[in-house]
Amino acid sequence: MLRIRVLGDLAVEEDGRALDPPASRRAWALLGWLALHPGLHPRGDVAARFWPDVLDSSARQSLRSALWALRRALGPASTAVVSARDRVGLDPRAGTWIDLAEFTALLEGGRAEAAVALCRGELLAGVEDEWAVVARAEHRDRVAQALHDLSDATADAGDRATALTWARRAVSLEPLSEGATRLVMQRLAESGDLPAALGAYGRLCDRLARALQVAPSPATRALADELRAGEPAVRDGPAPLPRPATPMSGRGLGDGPLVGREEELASLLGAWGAARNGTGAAVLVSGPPGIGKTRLGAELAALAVAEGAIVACCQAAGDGAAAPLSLWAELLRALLRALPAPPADAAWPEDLALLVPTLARPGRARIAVSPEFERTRLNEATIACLEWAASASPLLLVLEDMHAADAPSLALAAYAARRLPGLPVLVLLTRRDAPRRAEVATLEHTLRSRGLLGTELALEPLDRAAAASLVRGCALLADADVDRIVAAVDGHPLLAVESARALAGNARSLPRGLRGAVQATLGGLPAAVHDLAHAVAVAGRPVNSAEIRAFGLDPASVLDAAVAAGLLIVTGVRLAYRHALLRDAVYAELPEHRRAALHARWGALLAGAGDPGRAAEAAHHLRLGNDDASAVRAARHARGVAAVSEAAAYQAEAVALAPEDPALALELAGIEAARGRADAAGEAFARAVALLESVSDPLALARAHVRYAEWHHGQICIPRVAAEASRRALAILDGAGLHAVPERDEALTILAFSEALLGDQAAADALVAELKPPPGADDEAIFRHGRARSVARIRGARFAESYAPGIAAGEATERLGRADLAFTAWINIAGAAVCAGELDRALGFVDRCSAALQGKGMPVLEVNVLLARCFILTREGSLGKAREAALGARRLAARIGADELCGAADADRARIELAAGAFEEAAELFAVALATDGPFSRALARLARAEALARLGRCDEAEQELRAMVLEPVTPGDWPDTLVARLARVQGLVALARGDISQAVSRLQESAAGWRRRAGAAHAGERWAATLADIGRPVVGVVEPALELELVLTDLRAIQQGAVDAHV
Amino acid sequence: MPTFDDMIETPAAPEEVWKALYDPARFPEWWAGVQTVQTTTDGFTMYVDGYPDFPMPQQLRTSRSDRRVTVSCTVSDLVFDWRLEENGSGGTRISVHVEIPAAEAARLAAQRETVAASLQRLAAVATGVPPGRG
Repeated sequence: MLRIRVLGDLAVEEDGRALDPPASRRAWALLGWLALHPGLHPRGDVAARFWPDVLDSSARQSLRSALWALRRALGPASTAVVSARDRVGLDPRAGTWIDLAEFTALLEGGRAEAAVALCRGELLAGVEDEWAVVARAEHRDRVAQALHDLSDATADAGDRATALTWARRAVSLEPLSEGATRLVMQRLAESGDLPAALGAYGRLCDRLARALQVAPSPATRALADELRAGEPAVRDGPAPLPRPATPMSGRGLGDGPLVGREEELASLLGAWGAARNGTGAAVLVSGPPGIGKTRLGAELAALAVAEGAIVACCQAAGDGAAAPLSLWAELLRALLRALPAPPADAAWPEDLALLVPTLARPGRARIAVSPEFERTRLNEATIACLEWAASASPLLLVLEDMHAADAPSLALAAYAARRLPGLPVLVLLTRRDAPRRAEVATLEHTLRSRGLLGTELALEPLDRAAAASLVRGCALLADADVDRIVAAVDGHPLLAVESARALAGNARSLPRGLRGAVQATLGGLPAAVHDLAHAVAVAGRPVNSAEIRAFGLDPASVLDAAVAAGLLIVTGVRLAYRHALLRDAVYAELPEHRRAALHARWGALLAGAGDPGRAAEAAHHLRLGNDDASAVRAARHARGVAAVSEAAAYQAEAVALAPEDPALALELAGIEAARGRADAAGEAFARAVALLESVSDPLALARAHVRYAEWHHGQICIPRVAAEASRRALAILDGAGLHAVPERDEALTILAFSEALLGDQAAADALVAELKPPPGADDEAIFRHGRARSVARIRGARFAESYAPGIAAGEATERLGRADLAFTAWINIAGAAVCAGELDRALGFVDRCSAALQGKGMPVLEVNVLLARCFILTREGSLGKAREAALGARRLAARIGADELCGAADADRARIELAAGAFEEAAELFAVALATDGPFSRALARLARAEALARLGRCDEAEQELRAMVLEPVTPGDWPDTLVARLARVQGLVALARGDISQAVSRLQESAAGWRRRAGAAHAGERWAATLADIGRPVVGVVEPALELELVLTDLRAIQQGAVDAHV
Repeated sequence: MPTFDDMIETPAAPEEVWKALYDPARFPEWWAGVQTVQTTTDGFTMYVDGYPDFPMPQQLRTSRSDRRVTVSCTVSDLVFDWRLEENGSGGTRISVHVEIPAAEAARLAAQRETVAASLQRLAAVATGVPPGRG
């Protein structure tokens, strides 16, 4: 039997034996056509189809030749080909098997899988006649439909993997088919792999852009939006909202085509193009409410999505009073929905889980660090997340309505923006012209001054033509009505759209203003629509169907009306206002008591749902709903995300509401301590203590004092207060006869540490001798013990003896994963090793400190470690390596935008150049450093600069610097008792540069006398402790009078030698 | 709390006044009544004439905002605020503000005299002229 296969390359076999094609390609193509069209056909028609451009007689001749060649190739099987006088074709009676006919039969018989299995490739692959191309396309559609049906059927049967396989085959069959890609997106989303679904979408965008230079259709974009906005395809997620009568593809896109903003869009596209190519930046779109900022941003977002970019949007609400970092929490949620799971070896997801709790992974606990480092760690985690996301695809981040953003979100935006250069990320910020908030102005100034704000667009009202075009685009209105609207709205696009909608709807006359338009719109709608509109307005963000139902509303009954009225839009499972101003207008119309009641209801609902990611939002609603307990919740959240200023405000509110609660007052004291505000902490603590004393609970009282002591030897370094609080805690425990082993142990270790810093060596030694970690002590206790011992020994100038307890403390912090404490432990003993002159050992401790900080998101500490390394290397004379460390510190400080640390790094670089004899560079770098408020001794920096200037012979400038030095503030960390000797030395150098040898010798001798009075190894520990207590953080370098004296004596010898040489 | 102010001008440069003012070891050179001084890293102790066994620990600090050098006694509330300014002709205007605790108000007149004498001696010391003991 003859078998002809057209589903792929044309192949023919007889009784299982493949037949070779004839030499004539036309003859072979003719067989293909005949197989596609079984039966007999008029010879003239067939000839004309194959040879359309020649005379009929020639065409018939060509057909005859082709048939001859074909029959010859088929041999005995050629009987299947009928070549009669007027008709040609495959003989229906010959029983020829054709795969395409079989395909059709199987499909019609409901055996789609078997039908699809027949397809070896494209129909008649390689035949490029027009009839073949058309037939191929038709067949492709049939296969695609079959694959689609198969995918649906297997998905319905619960076999998601096979369903996905069928869907993917559909895409490989038609890579440009949006229907096929939507199928894959749907299947992937159903299996819970949203990132892959959006990845499929991105690839389609790429293909369409490359092959056709077009963006995906609205249907495909809408599906992508839905997937980003919620989880509509997840079968166990919230039920999809009913499809509204007026379909909307997303926020801000419901107003028809963009009108009158071509130039602005071109600017944004320019910035986007640069960002996409790796030159990240921020752009700012400002203007009055409703001027079109959102619309413009939405247009850019749609275009970016079409290019395969990842787009994440968020919108501030609450006039700056929203939960701290709530804006970034929304943005990161949106971003993470478009991405696969974070890398397993990344540490940032746990840190970022403070904002997006779903990022927390099983078995990967987050380790808290001191409050002063929490904010930076969160910032760094955000940066790491953005860098990771941008490594997959360019990012467009849209942060809307920054005028209403909470202050910590604005600060984080400034922090993140510093890293944009070098990343394919564009940050689009929008804000209204008013109100102008100082924090927003600061953010813009920061971006502008660093060259990060590439484009600033101030949107103006639309001209009349554009406004008319906009009105006509959104409603069918008479010309007179269009003119009335254009005249009334004064180029205000949102008002134009709303007025057009109102006039096209129920309004009899043109409404006054936006609120009038919204009133007019709502006026004609039933009460149930009002309830829905009010609920969503008070929610202040898009809400999903489950939330609406939980709120007690049935969206199905009223959604169509709300959407058709143009107030609300639906994206996937989420319902939102079409524009923030519409929401604001509805919200403003609500009576105050009604608003509070709705806030209280949302608050209770969210709090009851128990989602930690919504805790702050719940607290925010409860606060607006006048719920007393909300302040505590809000404070807890704010502190959790390291927004201590906000936490203090909320906690103070909580204390005011419950002034008799000692726990609240104590918590407030702790928050103030975390802010470094000793006085406020003391005040709140005094209130807590008074309350605790009144209830006679000695253990709670002792614990409060221990906490107070802890704050004052940590965030606030006031050893005197820490020692007093420790003693008080111990006295309370003694007085009550309480063992309270952990509390006693903590109080004793803090007391020993504080006494060492206060200078009472005997007391410190006595306490250290008593110290013994309690049985089963945890690593925190081991750290405290080790640190107290090591500090007491350093204070007593027993430097080498401090190493062992210091190492024990450092290793305990490593086990705890507390990089902040590790810094303290290792740098303390590095300082001890410097004091002992063991510089190699000191570098070893610094290395361990660096390792402990690696990847922990604490760049400030990393800069300090680099500066410590720089000091030690300078001290040992390895100036090249020291310079490398200082430059590394400078780069890192600049990367995180820490201007003060940049100053400290410059000051250290300057010292290296001074030591290297590069006086010009030294003088210049000191000047740069002194222009900052860096954490370095200004008095010493001025003296060193004066020395560099003196050595350059710039004596007047050197003297000016000395004059400035004496007017600088001096603290114990500047080693004030040595400043006079230093000043005298530099005065000597200036005199020398002026050629006044006698004066030079006199000044240098004065200096030498000063240094001799202060020489003595016993002082080194005291100096170290005094400096630590003064600056409140570990120190590496201490003044070494013997070395300083030697420098002065060297200068004196050089003068004397010069005099001798001159004499000779 | 009784207080008083005094002032003097000296041709000495501010640096020279500062060195004398900032080096407690040199207080006996110009501070009337101060016999000896022992320095430590975070302060110093003065022993005044007639009271060799009565140490008076002091703290010395400066203020950037108004260019003051403050010497305060840690066993009483006696505070001396010294302030240096350029006087426009290369010299220095030295001002002092003294606060005396209410309990020691009786010492006001004596302190006025002591401070006036000390100012004159400081002005002289800073110019490099050793004053006679007053």
